[in-house]
Amino acid sequence: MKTSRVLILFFLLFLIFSNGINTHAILNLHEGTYATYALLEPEGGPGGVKDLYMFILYPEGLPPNVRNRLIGYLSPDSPWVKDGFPFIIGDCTEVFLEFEILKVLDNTASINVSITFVNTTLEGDYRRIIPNLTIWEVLDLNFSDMTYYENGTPIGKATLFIDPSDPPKPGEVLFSLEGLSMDVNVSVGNVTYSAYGNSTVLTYYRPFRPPHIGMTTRRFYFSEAGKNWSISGGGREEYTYDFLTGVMIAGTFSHSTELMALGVFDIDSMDRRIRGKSEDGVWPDGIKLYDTNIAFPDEGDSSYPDSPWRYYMYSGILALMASLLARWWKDGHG
Amino acid sequence: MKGTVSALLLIDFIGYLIGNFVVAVSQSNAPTGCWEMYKHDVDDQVWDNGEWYWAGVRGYVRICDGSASIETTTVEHIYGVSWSKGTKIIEGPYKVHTSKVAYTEFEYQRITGETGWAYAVIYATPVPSRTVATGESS
Repeated sequence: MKTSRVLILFFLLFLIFSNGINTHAILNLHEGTYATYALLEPEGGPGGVKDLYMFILYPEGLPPNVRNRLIGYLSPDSPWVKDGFPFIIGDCTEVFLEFEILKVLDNTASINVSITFVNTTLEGDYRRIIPNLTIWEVLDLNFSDMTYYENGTPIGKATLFIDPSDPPKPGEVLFSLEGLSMDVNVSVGNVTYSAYGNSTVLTYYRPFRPPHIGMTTRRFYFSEAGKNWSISGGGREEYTYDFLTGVMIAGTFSHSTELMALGVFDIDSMDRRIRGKSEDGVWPDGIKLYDTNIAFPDEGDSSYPDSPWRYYMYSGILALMASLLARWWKDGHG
Repeated sequence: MKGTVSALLLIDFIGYLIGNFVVAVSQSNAPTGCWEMYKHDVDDQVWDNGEWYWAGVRGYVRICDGSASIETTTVEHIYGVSWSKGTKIIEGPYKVHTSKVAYTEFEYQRITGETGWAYAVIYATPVPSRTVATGESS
């Protein structure tokens, strides 16, 4: 009886410690790891579909090269130029968000995050269509607190990744919206290990069987007006993560830490290509995984253990069997 | 008779003067070739169980010498869902307008749990035929 308890305790301790030590091994983030998320154009193109995807850029926060290029596209009577509107509104037919791990040093990873808007129109100027508008920046992510730092200053908690063993806690501030005169903090509302219940979450890349980790934000609102403009909105974001790696598989992602770091205030969070339920599972709202080189542990039906997690599972079963055997032996194998 | 004719001529002449004056004043305020256009867009739906949503935006666009801008003081954002039937707005409403774009957008949730977005937009610049089929008047 005691032996089994001790064994199980050791096994649990082993699990807990291995979690703590191998954080980024579990996250599966190493040099060269990349993932792309997408909001795709509906089949047959945008005909008959309303203005597809809107987005709002915060020029002050854009990387300087992108900002200069964008300003060149604006007409002289642009609200940003003329009226002091703090944002630039655009629309496009497809959105691709990508991250790539450039370097992992001790507890920090340099991550290139980029967003590409396809067939972009700025401020409704249809005479000029930008085939690909890409905004990218290298962000430094500290694994121990899952926070991005810029020259040593924290700029927000990661929303593309979480540490499954230590997810953000309710009430914690994820990031702040920039470009408004008042501070609007977006903080964690709820974290659940059973997002989407027993449903499989479908993405453009592959289906993800349950369980999933879900994080929602608290409700937030903003409202601001100037002489010739007005903007208000807000709501509640919802991000869904792979259970074992903690990498996001889908998210409403209207606002996020990574977007705000790039100078993107808001993107549309509905997928106009595909959504809703089917026999195979649920298509979540917003951007979804599109391509990646991450070997998600539960991939395929391969019979051999292809990840440390499988070994954990097997060793767990082994430990359980050993303890049962020990108990059975002690009790006089009767 | 003569008196009537001369009175009419006088009125004509005064009218001519006033006309000239009006044209002169209006020209100083707005150059010739300015015109206004009413634009609106609606996204709405009603389901069999009586649930509905409604998102709209409307306003005037002023076009002067080929450059168009939305008269932001005339812009109105309208939105609603069948709250009494249990329909909810779970994100937004986003209500945004500048002199170039105005839109109303929100995410609704039906009592079945099904979610979706309502979205209405008008632009200052006339859009090409590709997106004219959006319901936006032009």
